[in-house]
Amino acid sequence: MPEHIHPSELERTLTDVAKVPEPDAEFMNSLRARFVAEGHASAIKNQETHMKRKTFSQRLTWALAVLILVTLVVLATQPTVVNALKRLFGYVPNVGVIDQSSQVRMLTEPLTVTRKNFTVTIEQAVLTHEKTVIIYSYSTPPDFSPNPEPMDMRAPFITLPDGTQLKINQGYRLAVQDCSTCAMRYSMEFGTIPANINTASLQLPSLIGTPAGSAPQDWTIKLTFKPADPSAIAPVTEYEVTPVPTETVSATTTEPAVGTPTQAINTYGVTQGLDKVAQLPDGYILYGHVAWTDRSIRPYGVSTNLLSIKDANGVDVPFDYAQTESNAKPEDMRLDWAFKIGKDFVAPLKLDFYMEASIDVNGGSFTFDPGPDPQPGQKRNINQDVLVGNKIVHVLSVERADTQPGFFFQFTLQSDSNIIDAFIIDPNFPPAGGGGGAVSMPQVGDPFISGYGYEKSLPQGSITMKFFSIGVLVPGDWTLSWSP
Amino acid sequence: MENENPRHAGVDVQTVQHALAGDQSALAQIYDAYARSIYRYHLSRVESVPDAEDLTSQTFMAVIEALPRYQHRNNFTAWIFQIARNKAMDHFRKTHSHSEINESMADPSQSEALEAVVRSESRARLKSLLHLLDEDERELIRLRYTAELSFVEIAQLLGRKEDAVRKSIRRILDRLSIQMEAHHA
Repeated sequence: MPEHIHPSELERTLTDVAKVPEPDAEFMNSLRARFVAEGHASAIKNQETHMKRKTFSQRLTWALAVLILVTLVVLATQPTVVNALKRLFGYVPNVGVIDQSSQVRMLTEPLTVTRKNFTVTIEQAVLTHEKTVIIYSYSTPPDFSPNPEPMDMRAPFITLPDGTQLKINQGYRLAVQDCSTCAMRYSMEFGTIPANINTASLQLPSLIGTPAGSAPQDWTIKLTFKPADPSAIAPVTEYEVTPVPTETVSATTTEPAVGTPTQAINTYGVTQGLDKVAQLPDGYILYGHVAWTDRSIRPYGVSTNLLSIKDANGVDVPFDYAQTESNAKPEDMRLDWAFKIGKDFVAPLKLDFYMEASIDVNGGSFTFDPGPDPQPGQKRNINQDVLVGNKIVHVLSVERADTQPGFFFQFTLQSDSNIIDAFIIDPNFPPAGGGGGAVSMPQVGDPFISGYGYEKSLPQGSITMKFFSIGVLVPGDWTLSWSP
Repeated sequence: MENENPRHAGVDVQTVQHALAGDQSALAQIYDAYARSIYRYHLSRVESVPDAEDLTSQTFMAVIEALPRYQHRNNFTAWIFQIARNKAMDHFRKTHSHSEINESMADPSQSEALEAVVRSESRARLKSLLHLLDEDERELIRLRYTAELSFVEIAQLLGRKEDAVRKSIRRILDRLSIQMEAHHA
């Protein structure tokens, strides 16, 4: 009589058989440090390369700005001149803000090429003195079923009539909601095509996102350019930045000082402003930024959340996120934002933001005893006040979460100061998970959760946790006002 | 419908964007979420710990290079494991060796403990049966039981439907079960 094996028993045995030894901790920690360091360095290098490409154009922009200033002084009473100068920047859908201080060229017309029922459409090309942007989409046959082969990662490039090749500088996927047949829409940015060259060949070794061999390869598509139709470029108005708030203000009851009753509120040097507005046929895109001067804020450590836009009648104006104009470097201590709105409102608009910053803190610790065998769901009160920076955090309780494997603790914290989130660690054990768990828009005084996990076993005895970073609500009036 | 693997749940589009921007905590989060799975996957395919460590290092260095080209489609696990698979295939091409589920790599301490239990005979039999699987089947077993990917993640990685992956693995298990029972008959 054969012995029947329960499927779950077989799976358990299979799991045992397929198991391999855990990696050496020293190797893992070493590779972790290398990955983080090299990833960070690579990102900075990429951003610097991007910025260098902009240097020339920035110089040109500054030269033009001086020229414009002189012209404005001479022709200050001629409003038509001022209006014309506002058109230095323009906006092209799917491309974003472009500098049109020199002639902008575009594709003479969209192009479509079909091979084996795969159809590639070159939807747009925008050529400025800074860059060449090409947008293409493709559709696949109805029965297209990609095989599991690796993706074809060969990069697209442009070949000019004299044989010069322009490599792709960056590319990203675009939305396809407005194209029911599109399997993919992709934007590619290349270097500048000289002003006297109006033809080029786009080389697509593969269709982006298709596995090798699953779709026709090595597409060559000839492109022809012409001066852009002005109606294809939306006007952009540039604004002088008026940061708010600009001053450190006096303490209020929402910011209890520790030891110094007259301590000022720290706004961390955070400012923000509206930079540009693109005027589209169906609405506007508002471009702005947030910047800070306090170096204790982590790189990209300020989150500016747009809570609402209200018009002059107090009516909510719907908004959507838009592609920002640029990407700041970590050392820039700034972040850009962009929001798209419609045209159905009564000016002026008020944009209300919620500003949160992530701050590195050196220390602040507490000790708790998890007990000999803490069970999932088991909660223990801690009730300790910890000085973090110069503010008090109340560590209320700890609960073992019901997760497997390992041990994961959730700490409930609260502060009467502007601390609304925290990342705490056990410095003696690398984290198997953790991080803050505050609700989306916490207010001062709200309890918040911070977690920490041990992958295998618990340390013996009491555990000391240290504050690694905190999230703070940046005080101030984060409202911007704008009229078209 | 199986949800996303909780081990990898923290890596979302924002994490990737922050990592791209050089945010060290985001890079660390990606590493912490995947390093062990990828190491286990490599170790299950190669003969030695040094080779597995080398391949894991190569995988993560390749991730840094490829990250700017990543297109978010809620498939980061499939994307990063595709890089790991490519590195493994490069390794086998260079060494002209073949991959296998390497039972000799099992943790000695765990092996000793497990050998003492009743399942020891089943384990030994199962090991030998796994060698009879073809490479595609071994890869499914490796991804599911060694790297511990979810069905959804395996489906995304292999470009197949989740249901098809479930059925394939179920079929392999059924066949192994029959073979095991036949052995005891």
